[in-house]
Amino acid sequence: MIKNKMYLVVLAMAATLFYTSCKEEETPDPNPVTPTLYTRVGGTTMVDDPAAPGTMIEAGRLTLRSVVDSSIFVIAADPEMAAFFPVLLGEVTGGDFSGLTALSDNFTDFLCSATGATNPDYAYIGLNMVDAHDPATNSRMGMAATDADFDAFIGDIAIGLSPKRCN
Amino acid sequence: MKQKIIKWTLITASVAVLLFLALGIHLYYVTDNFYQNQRNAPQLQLGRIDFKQPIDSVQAADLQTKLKQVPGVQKTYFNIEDQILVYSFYNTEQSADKIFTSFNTRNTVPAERYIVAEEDKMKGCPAMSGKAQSGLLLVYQKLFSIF
Repeated sequence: MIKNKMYLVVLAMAATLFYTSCKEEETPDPNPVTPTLYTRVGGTTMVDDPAAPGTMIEAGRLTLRSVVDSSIFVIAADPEMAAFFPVLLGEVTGGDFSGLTALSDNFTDFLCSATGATNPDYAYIGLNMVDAHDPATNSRMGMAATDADFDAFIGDIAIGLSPKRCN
Repeated sequence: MKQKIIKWTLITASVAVLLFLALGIHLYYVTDNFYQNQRNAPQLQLGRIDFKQPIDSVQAADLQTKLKQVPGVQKTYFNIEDQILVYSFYNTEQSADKIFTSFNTRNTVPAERYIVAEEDKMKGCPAMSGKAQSGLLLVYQKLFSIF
């Protein structure tokens, strides 16, 4: 009798496992983990940094930095953007970062943070976007940016992404 | 008993303050050297040349080739619509002025070097606030962003 009951218990467990295992295979995950944009553009895989031989960089950051660096050329050649980015063309002789270096680092940090990078070295720690674009809270902002200015900026980034890049 | 608690609280607080100061002094010396070295490393810079007449794509390619023949020029980008040529160079190898002079020995199209006004040099991308560039602050903020 006890033996029969044990068989029943085992049978019930097997049936439950069979049912649940089949159920897992047939039912799609309601909350699938979507890789972040940062992961999709390279993620945390370490690769050689072509700009600094002998050092490594996350592939995700390298991709984003390359887009930023191309876009910076487009921005520097855009007379509409010139009023917002004069520092890009200011010369430094030593002891300070050039406008290109500083903007590339900070904008890349911003994109890394926005796209899902978790490396604390890539954290964006500048002003929030509202304060950053308000001349009242950011002395570097010579004048308020309009929607049209922002659209022109996005247009330059799009050119930076296109094959019509600098070379 | 009460005195004992106060005594140990004071000892603990003093040790915590000393450790925090030691960390600060350590970071100051380590990061100050680090950022000073970074600043003194060759800096990639941009220069801009404005052309005074319409340029087509063939001319643009030719002008880019001529500019790249100048030693020290790294990359170039031509905005044909606005006749603006932008180039990069390392400040330890070249200067925008020398590059422009050298370029003009090969170029016949009327052109002008774009020079940023002194007062405009303090303006720039909002992401480049002084707050974001302060070396020690940057390290402290990045350090504590871990926790």
